[in-house]
Amino acid sequence: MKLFRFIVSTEEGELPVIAAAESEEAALQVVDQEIQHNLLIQPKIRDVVLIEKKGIKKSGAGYLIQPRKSYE
Amino acid sequence: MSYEKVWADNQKLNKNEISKLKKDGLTIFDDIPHYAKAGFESIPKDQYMYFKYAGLTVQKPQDKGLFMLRVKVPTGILSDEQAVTLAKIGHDYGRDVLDITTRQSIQFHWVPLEKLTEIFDRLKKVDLTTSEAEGDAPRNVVGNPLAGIDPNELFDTRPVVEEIYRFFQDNPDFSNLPRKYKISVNANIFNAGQAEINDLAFTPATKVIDGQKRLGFNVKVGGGLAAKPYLADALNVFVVPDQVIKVAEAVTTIYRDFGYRKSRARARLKYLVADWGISKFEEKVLELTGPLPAAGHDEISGWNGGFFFGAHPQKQKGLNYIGISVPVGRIHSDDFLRIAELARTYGNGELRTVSSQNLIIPNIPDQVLDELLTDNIFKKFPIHPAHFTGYAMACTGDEFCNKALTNTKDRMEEIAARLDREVDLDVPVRIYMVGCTNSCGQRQIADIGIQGLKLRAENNQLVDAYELFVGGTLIGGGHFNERLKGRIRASVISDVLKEFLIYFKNEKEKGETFFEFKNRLGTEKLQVVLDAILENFDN
Ligand code: SF4
Repeated sequence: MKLFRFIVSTEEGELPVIAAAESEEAALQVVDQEIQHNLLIQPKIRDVVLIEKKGIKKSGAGYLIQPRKSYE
Repeated sequence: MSYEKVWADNQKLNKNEISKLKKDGLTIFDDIPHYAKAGFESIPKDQYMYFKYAGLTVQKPQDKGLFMLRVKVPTGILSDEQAVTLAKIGHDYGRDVLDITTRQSIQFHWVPLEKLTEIFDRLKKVDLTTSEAEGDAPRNVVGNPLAGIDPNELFDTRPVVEEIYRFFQDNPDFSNLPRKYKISVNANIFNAGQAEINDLAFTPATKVIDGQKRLGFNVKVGGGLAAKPYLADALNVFVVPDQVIKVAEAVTTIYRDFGYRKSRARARLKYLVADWGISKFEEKVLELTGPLPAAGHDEISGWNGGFFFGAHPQKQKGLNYIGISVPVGRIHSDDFLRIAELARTYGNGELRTVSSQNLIIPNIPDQVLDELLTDNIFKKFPIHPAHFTGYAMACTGDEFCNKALTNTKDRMEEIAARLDREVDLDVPVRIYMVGCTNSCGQRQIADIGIQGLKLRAENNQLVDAYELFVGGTLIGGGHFNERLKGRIRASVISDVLKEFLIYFKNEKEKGETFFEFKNRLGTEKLQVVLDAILENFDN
């Protein structure tokens, strides 16, 4: 199992989405599900990008979600 | 071991720290022969971290028993027999490929577990090592690849590098640091040691002491790239060469004893320096070293990006060095061997590795220089490379790296080759590509950084794509490049870059570098330019 960090760009701005899945493709489906489930009004999505991935160890894994700095 | 592990009773150590307390990383060299006999399956997964101390990473896919193996090359200097040994290791165990890294080391891939002890023996015979080339220990000491022959060096740093390397290498007092630890020693006035991106850097400086002008170093601490890059801060101290070891030991002791061991994500020295502030850090250093003079006059007068192409006179009259382009640092073992042979025939056998992933042959007498340059090898590895190919760098990428989202080396080579054919510039543009948010290809200090990601395409598949960053440098203490909005598919990245660079060509002033151009126009303007270019592509 891996942890994937996505950025979903919409007309209103960027949404960070984290997905745990076996593969990049499965993670992408998780992203879609989370957006559909969590947002009452579906945003106009410009693009969806995977920008980071890491293995999930026994001790866990995570990402700190914060706006990207200009050099990140 | 002659020190107390003052962190040992800390309740909040991360898992690696607990393991390192039970077993020192360097003991992996005792285990490897047993694992080699019993087979790859015999290695418990929790032991993989120890292989790092032997300069080894389990290569993906992780079940094939193959390793990436890294060999240290302090300040990039290889003797004839060392260079030949590396070429032969590449041939015999590494499928004929050598990679020159951005820290002047040499990396091999596809190295089988059962061959490791043979390789260690071969390396030992020529005084080379993989030990601590990875792991939470002092890594390869980088520095001026022209040390001792450089007309632009304040003094020869080879003895200082040698002293530091021998002091820390396999020293059990420093084999358990919180995280990787990078030292740079350089006296080239164009910052060949890339001081600002190292944990501890010694940079060229002068100071009048007791009426006498002394040559030595100023000191910077706490730099590093990675996903959270940080430029090193200056300590207000001046160090003469024979005091360098004292300062290096002090800084490293502070890092060992006070560096953070709870979270590996916060374990690099830069976090400690940021939390303490540079003044407190300096006080602690001086407590250990005793008084040192205040910083001297900084003799750095620019940054050459680590590029040394062409044939140039050395400081020794009648001798020359040639800087050779090795595209993205990857070279076939036969070619490496051929270059080593030329170094022996025409020079003194020495070969030098450069942080820009290139090579230098030093010590070529005037009278044979032209003859040397007629060799066919320089058609493949030119000393005056085309601008883009010569100044491109790339990290390992998805071929071997588990974190990578995209290809890097092949893609970078393709892009650079096309740009060389289609965009003719009067200045080089340094383009560095990485396959993720990390920085093994030093993306943050490139003129144009390219960072890999995956983009959702119409068919709901993820495809390779890239983001661009503009205006990185280490000039004037350094500046990280800035991200431009817009994700660019791999299928059009070379088209987009071509248009972007044609705009640069048309709008730049004569001799203006990309960094100067970006500062003159501003990032916002370059964003407008990229937006307009992207509109013309099916991206
Ligand atoms: S920058 Fe990322 S993709 Fe490239 S080698 Fe480093 S970790 Fe791997």
